[in-house]
Order: sequence, then structure tokens, then C-alpha cells
Amino acid sequence: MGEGAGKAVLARAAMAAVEPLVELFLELGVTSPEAESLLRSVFVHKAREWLAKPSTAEDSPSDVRVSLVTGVHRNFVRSILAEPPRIAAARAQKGHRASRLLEAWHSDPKYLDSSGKPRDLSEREQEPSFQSLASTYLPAAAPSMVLEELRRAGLVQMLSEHRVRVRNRTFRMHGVNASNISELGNRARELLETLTHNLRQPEARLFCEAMPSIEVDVARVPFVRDLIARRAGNFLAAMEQELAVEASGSRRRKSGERVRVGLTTIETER
Amino acid sequence: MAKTTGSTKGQAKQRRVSAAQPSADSDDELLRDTLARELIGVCMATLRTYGLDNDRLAKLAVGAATGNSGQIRSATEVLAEAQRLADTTNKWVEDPAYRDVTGRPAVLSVRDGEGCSFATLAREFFPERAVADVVTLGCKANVLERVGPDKVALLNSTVLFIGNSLPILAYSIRTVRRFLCTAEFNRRVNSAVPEGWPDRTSFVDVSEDDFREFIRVFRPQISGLIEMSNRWLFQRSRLSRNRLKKKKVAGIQVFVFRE
Repeated sequence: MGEGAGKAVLARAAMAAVEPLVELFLELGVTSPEAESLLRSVFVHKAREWLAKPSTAEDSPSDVRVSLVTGVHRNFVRSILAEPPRIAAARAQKGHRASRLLEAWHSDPKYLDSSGKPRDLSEREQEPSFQSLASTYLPAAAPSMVLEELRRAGLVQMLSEHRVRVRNRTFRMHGVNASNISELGNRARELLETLTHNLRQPEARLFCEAMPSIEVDVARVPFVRDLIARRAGNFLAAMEQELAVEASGSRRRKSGERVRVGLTTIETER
Repeated sequence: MAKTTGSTKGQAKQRRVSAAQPSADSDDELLRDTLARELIGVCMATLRTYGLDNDRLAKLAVGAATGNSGQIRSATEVLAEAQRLADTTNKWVEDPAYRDVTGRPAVLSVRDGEGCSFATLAREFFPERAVADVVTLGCKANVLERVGPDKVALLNSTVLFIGNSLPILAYSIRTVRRFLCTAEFNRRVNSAVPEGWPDRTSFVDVSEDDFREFIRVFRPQISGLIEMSNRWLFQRSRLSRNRLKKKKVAGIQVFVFRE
């Protein structure tokens, strides 16, 4: 068997191991360039470890040696080894390609109702439809594939009569993943920080109020959730606008110490 | 930024006295006449944009002055159809029976069948019209859209009179009449804040770009406020304890303006 044929056999064998990983990457929203960048980074780090093993008799292999083994240019080897394995910043997707479509669904007047909120759209039957939205803002992709991708990510809700409702303005994979776990941690930390601040400094309380909870028929829960989402969404948007004025004034003043101020609203159900 | 309210304590008292006593200060009368002329002028300038010339306007003004124009309800009649359409969508939005599993107004069948349908709604509010006509009317007013051959979805809960001058004129008249009612009430109360009806304005000079941004930011806020008000009033009017009480139309109206 020649060297080329041997590599082909190896590649086929490696596929079996890599395929589940690719599936996981797809679920997590990691793109192919991002995965390739991550693989290259891991490859370089692993090569250095491998070369440093006692059997190879190299204490600390040089960048040139790692470059020779991995096929990665020595300049890249140096920068890759300077930090833990990760996706290179240049390869990390700045935003999912569907983000453009989601943004348009929330801002193009053609796809808004009279209150300025995104309309439910028919998949393709009448205008304005999801098909026209996708064709306009993601012309390179088939609308049906874009819809499937958004549905899988939990960003759209499929309704009866082949109608589609958008659920988020930004692309974010739903479910238990690293980004969402990090978000969960941040939210919990913010809440606990506010509560402990108020315990320790009652004279300088941060706003933390709740309305008395109410009991509703379980059948009414979807309506109540939708109502809370719309009212709280409007409230947060209004606060963001008002605070943006304060933030731009503060930027001009450029005084010394600065504080990050935020506002979070949460719905509770028991 | 300027913020104003519709009445002040001192003015309200002073004007009530001057209205009751013909021998009031002549400067006040002069100012009142000037303001009255301005109000008539504003109305006439608007009516000219609807194609009425000065002669026609003068004749109509004389007719209105000699008749009891305050009691004429032509505008209400012009808007009757739009009002019934608004009542239809109101029930569609507010009645839980017409909501889908997500809590939003459901896609409805235009045919009769089991459960709630658009046909049921149309018959309740437009008993003399064919369901198909009501669908056409709703689509024209941008309130609903067709879904497939025999279903409709609610598009907007607000009836829009796009490109149709006369309903817009009638709507303007109703708005002016309602606003003048509020002003009339407020000029008769002594204590401005707790007893007067809320009437607030904010305005400032802005560029065209900022004005567009202003609309974008405030459209959802205004819609949310109107929706809250509508829900409160709708639920309150349906309470059994209020059914037999004498009722009058009440509400709020919000609009963006640019002079």
C-alpha cells in the first residue's frame, strides 16, 4: 500500500471518530472555519506535548520542530502556543449569517406590524413571506434550509397553517451549551450581587422589586407569558433608550471611576 | 424639552368667570376672539387640503354656525364601519376563546364550523354583510390577511385608513371633538392635577432623521400603552356588576405630531 492510499484509509477511519464531534459542533453552532481553527490549535499544542515525551528525547521542542511535524508555519505555531487551545479570533464568526435576517425581521417595515413588532409570516404563500425575507437578506441560501436552521436553533416558532413566528432578534443556540451556561452564571451572579448589596448597604439600595404573584388557569399561561414578554420588552427598550442618553453624556465627561449599570426583568412561575 | 398640561388652576378659574359675565375685560375678549379665529383658521386650512375652496368653506361655516353643529354626528356615521371592524378585532384579541395555544389571536376559518371562527365574529358585528365582504374590508383596512383559501390571520389590531381621505377626515373630527371635550372639562376644574383629565404633551425641535428615529422608538411604546388601556376598559365593561350601569365612551388617544 502506498503512502497516499494509507492516508486515505486513515482518513476514513478518523471520520468515524470525528463525525459525532462534527454533529456536536453543529448543535453548538460552531462553524467549519471555527472548528478547523480549533483543531489546528489543538493539533499544535498536542504536537508539542508529543515531541516533549521522554521517548522523543526533546525537553522543549522548538517552534521550528513543531512546525515541521504539524505542517503549520512556525510564525503561527508561536502565536498558537502562546495561549491555550482556542478558536483564532480571525476565524471566530462575528455573528451568525442568519443574524442579518433576524435583524431585518425586527426592523424592515415590510415585516413589522402597526405596533412596530415583527409579524408572523407565512412560509411562502403570500407576501410578505419568510421566503421573501430569506431571499432578500440571505440570497445565497435556500429559504427552506434557513428556516430549518432557525427552527433547530429555537429562533423561530412554527405555527399552524405554515406560519412562522420569530422568537429572538439575535442568533443564539438554545439548550445546554457553554455560552448559555455562562449566561446563566452571569444572570445568577447579577441577582445575588444586587441582593447582597441591598443587605449590606440598605441606605444605597439598588432597585429590586416584584409584584405579588397571581394564580392563573394553566390554559392562560401562554397568553400571560406573551403579555409579560411584550410589556417587559417595551419597558426594557424604553429604559435602554433613556440610559443611552446618560451613557453618551458620561462618555463626554470622562471622569475617573466608572460603574456598569444594568436592569434585568424576570418572569417567575411555580 | 417643553412639557405642558392642558390646564392651569389660575386660567381655569379666570376663564369660567369671563364666560359667565359678558362685561369681562375687553382685552380678554379680544384675545378670545383672536384665538377663536385661529382655531377656525386651522380647521379651514386643513379642510382646504381636502379640496374645499374658500367660498365653499365660508358657506359651510355659516351653515355650521347657524345650525347646531356640536350635535352633528356625521363623522361617527362615516366611521361606523371602521368601528365595527375595530370591535371585531377587539373581541378577536381579547376573548380567550379566540386565542391559539401560544396566547396570541388564532388563525380563524372564514367558514362555519366547530369552535370559534371568523364567520361567527363577522356575523356578530356585521349581521347584514356577507362574511367574504367583511374579509375584504378587513384586508383593505390592513387589519387581517388571508391564510390559504379559507382562513384569516389578524395582522394589526388597529384599523388603518390608508389612502382614503374621507374616513381620515371623519377620524380627525372625532379626535378634535374628543380633545375639545377634555379641554372643556379641564378648564372647569379648580385643582389641575388630581381632578383634571390627563393631557400631557412633549415637544422639541428635531431633525428629520431624529424624527424618524423618534417614531421607531415610540411606536411600540404607544402601541403597548393603547393595548393596556384597551384591555383594562374591555375587561371592566364586561364585569357583571357594570352591565346595567349607564355608560359613556371613554379612552385615551396618543399620536405623534410634527408641525
